[in-house]
Amino acid sequence: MQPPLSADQRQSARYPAPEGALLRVSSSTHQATAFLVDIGLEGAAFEYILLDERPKQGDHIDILADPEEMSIDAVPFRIVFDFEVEPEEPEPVIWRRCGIQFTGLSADQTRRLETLLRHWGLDLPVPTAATGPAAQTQKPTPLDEAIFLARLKLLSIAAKAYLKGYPCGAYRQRAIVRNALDILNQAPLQKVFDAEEACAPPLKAHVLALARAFVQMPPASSDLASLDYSADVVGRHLRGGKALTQMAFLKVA
Amino acid sequence: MRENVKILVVCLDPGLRDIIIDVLEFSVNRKVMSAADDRQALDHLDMQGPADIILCDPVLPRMSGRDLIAAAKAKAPRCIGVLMAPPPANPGTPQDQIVNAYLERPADPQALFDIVQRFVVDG
Repeated sequence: MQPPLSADQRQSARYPAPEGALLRVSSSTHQATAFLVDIGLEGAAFEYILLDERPKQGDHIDILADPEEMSIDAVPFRIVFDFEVEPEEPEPVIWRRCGIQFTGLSADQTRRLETLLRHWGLDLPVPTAATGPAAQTQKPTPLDEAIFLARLKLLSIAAKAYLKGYPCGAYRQRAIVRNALDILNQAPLQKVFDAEEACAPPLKAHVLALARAFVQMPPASSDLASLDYSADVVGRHLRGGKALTQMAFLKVA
Repeated sequence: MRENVKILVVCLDPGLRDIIIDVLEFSVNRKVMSAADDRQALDHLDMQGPADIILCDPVLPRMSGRDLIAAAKAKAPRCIGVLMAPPPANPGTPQDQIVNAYLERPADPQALFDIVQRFVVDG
């Protein structure tokens, strides 16, 4: 069994599920209802009473919603963790918590999942049309890749400038936020991360941590040391360019 | 440092145009104007007044980037013209007097920072 993904390893945010939200785990031979604990665009966690079978690879889930038309059927997944929950008080049944990563969501399922999360009032971090299935099926061109790398460089420089206390006027802030949003939109399409899967934690995790933090100003993270480290990692990966100290104009805008 | 600098970016590719604008607005903390083609650029110059710096693609639908820079300079002789293309192999022709700088890799933030340093901070 693989260890649970940490928040940094996850590719997208998780949100606490609405109270009473249910899902159904199904295989060819059985069905079991479970309580949704948290959910995001790429995975979920749920708790279930152990009866005769535990979820297994090859099963799928149905995310149940009200109204029923918003339910999402037959979502394929892989199990990330599955452990027994220690009860606060003795209980006659065994509760287990299972974490899953969605695998091979169809474009329609992705769209429906985004719609459902918004229906539940969950504030998705990338609220633009460009995150839709159509965007995710397009292949980036060489120019797109060059632009993405440029955005990563800007992200790294902007983070360092902010963390060093450089002035951050309105237009500078808007540029930082737009840049972070665009990175979040484009990251799923980019090959720049393909070669470093073995790194721990991978470059992508640092990029996403930075981008998620800087989709708002001031950044949505109190762990400034961690952001600083991520900015260094991203900057080192991209190499080239002058040091921040050589860009004096950033101190005066 | 050039105060309240007015920059106009003329670029056919929307993705490239957006990153150039983001880098420049981050650099100068000012609104940077943009145009999707030469016609929009000329309309902008007519309606909003001259630009201090114009960055433009080398090839536009109705004229060359060099011609657009020349048109911008006709309205404001001190306008800085940056052509987003490699520098010419044989510089020094009269035509080259129109272009103040070449930007070979316009998507590279460092190249744009250098333009800001040269024409906004030092210029």
